[in-house]
Amino acid sequence: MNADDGDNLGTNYVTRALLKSATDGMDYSRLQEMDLQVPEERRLFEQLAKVATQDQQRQLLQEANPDQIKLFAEALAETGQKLNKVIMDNLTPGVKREVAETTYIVKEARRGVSEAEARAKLAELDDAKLYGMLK
Amino acid sequence: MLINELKTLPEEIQVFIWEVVSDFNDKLYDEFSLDYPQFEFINKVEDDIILKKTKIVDLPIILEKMPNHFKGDLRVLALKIATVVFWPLQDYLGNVDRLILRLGGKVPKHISLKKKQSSDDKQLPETFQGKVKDLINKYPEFKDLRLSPNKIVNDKGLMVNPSVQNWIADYIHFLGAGQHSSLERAKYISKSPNALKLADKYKNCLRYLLLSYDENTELYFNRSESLLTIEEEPAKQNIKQPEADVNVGFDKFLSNLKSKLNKFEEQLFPSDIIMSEAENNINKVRDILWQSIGVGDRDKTISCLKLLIERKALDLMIKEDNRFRNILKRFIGVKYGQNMERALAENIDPLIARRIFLEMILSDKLSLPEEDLFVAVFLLTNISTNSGQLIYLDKKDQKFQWRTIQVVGNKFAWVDKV
Repeated sequence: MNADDGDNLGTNYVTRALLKSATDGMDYSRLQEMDLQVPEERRLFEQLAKVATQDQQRQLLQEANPDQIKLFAEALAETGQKLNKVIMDNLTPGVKREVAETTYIVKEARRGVSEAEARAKLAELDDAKLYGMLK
Repeated sequence: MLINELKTLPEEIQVFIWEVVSDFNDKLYDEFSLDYPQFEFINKVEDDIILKKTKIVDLPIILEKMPNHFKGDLRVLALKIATVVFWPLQDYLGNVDRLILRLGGKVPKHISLKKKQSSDDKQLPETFQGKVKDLINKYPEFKDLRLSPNKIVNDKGLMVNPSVQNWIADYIHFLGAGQHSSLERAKYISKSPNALKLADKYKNCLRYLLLSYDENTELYFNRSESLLTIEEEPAKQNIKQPEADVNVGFDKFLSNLKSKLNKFEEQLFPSDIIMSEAENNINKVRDILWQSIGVGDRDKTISCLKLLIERKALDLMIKEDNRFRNILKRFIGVKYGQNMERALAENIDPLIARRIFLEMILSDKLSLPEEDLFVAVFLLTNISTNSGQLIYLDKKDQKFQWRTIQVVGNKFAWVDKV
C-alpha cells in the first residue's frame, strides 16, 4: 500500500479528481507501453489506474502483461473499489489474495479500524470468507 | 475468464461482460445468499457458456452440480442468468430462447447488443447512397441492418437475423466465394431456401444488395423504417401532399383507369365470336387460348381468359388441362423453386393458382407493359363479384400491385390481405 493513500487521503482525492478529468476519454490501451521498472512511470501508471473508468480498465487490461495487471489490480484495490470480475479472473491466487487484503484494509480504514487491527482480522479469514466479505 | 479468451469474443460481448455480467454476478451473490465457492462456480459456468465450451441448454443440469448445497430454487436462478446474461447474447449463442422456455420463462423482446462505436466510426444516416462493400467498411452498423422481416437459416441450421451480413453469408454459402454473374444471382434468389420464402418486394431489395456486392454498383438505401430498403434510383422526396391534392390526383387516376378500361374492352373480341370459333364448346376455348398465347395475340388471349372467367371455367382449366398445367409448373419452378412445382398437384388455393397463372400469361408470355398488365387483371378480376382479388391499389403510389404470395413450408400463402 502506498503511503499517500493513508494520511493524505483528502489531498489525493482532489488530485485524483483532477487527474480523472484530465484523462477523460483517454485511450488506456497505450498504458501497456509504460515501463514499470522506471519508478516515475510506475507511479504514473498507478495513478492513472486509480482514475480509470470501466471502459478504460477494459482497454488497459486487453494489452497489459501480467506485471501490469498485478500493479493495476493493486492500485485499484487501494481506492477501495470493487474490482471487475475480469480483473479478478486474471490474477494468480497469491495476487488475488493480496489484492483482496488491500481492499479489505482500505475499507476497514474508512470505518476507523487501524491497519494493524485489520491485518489481525485478516489472519483469521480464509480466501472464501475474505472474498465473500468483499462482494 | 482469461484475457486471451475474452479477446476472442466480439467487442460488444467483451463490453457486455465488463459492464453487465460482473455487476450482475455480484447482485446474484446477495439475492441468492451464495457463498464464495458457489459464486465462483456460477462465474465459471457463465464463462464456459459464453466461450461455447458448454452448451447453453445444459445450464440447468450444470447448476445442479453447484457446491455447498444451494438453498434457493435452481430453476429461478437458471432463469435469471438465462434472461439477464445470455438472452442479450442470443444472436451469438443461439438457443437462449429455448432455454428460457424450457425453464418456464417468457422469452423477452429481442435485444441486440450495441456495437461499440470507435471514434472513427461514422453515424449512418436514414437515407444514403453507396456501394455495399464500401458501406460495410465505412459504417459498422450497416451490416446489421435487417433486410427482410423473418429470420433466415444459416449454414449451421440456426435461425439468425435477416441482416445484410447474414444474407451475404447465406449467398456466399449457397454460391461459393468470388464474383458471381447475374445468372448465378438469379439462381440464388429463385432457388435458395431462404430467398425462396421472401415476398417479391424483399426479393428485389436482396437482388439489389447482391448486385451491388458483386458488381460494386452504387445504390440508394433507406433505413428509416424497421427494414432496409434498396433502390436503383433515389426515392422520391416523401413530401406530404395536402389532402386535396391527393384526392385530385386520385380522381384523375380513376378517370384514367376508366378510359383505359373502356379502350381495352373495345379491343377485345366479343364472347359470341370466340364461342362460335370454339363451336359453342367452352372446352375448345382452351385450344384457342393456347394458340393465341403461342402467336402472342394479346387481345385474343385476354378475350379467351375473360370468356373462361365469365363461364367459371378458368380454375378447372388450370386444374385439368395438361398443357397449361405444365407451363404453369415450369413457371412456378423457375420463380419459386423446383420443390414448389409439386404445390400445384397438392391442395393449392384456386385464387393463388389463378394469380400465378395470370401473372405467367400476361407478364411472362405476353410481356405486357405494367400499365396494360394491371388494366387487364383489373378487368379480368372484376367480371364476377366475390371472385377474389388478385391485385390491390397502392393509393400512395397510385398504381396497382399484385397481391404478394409467400412460400410457407412448401405451400403458397398470401402475405397481405386486401
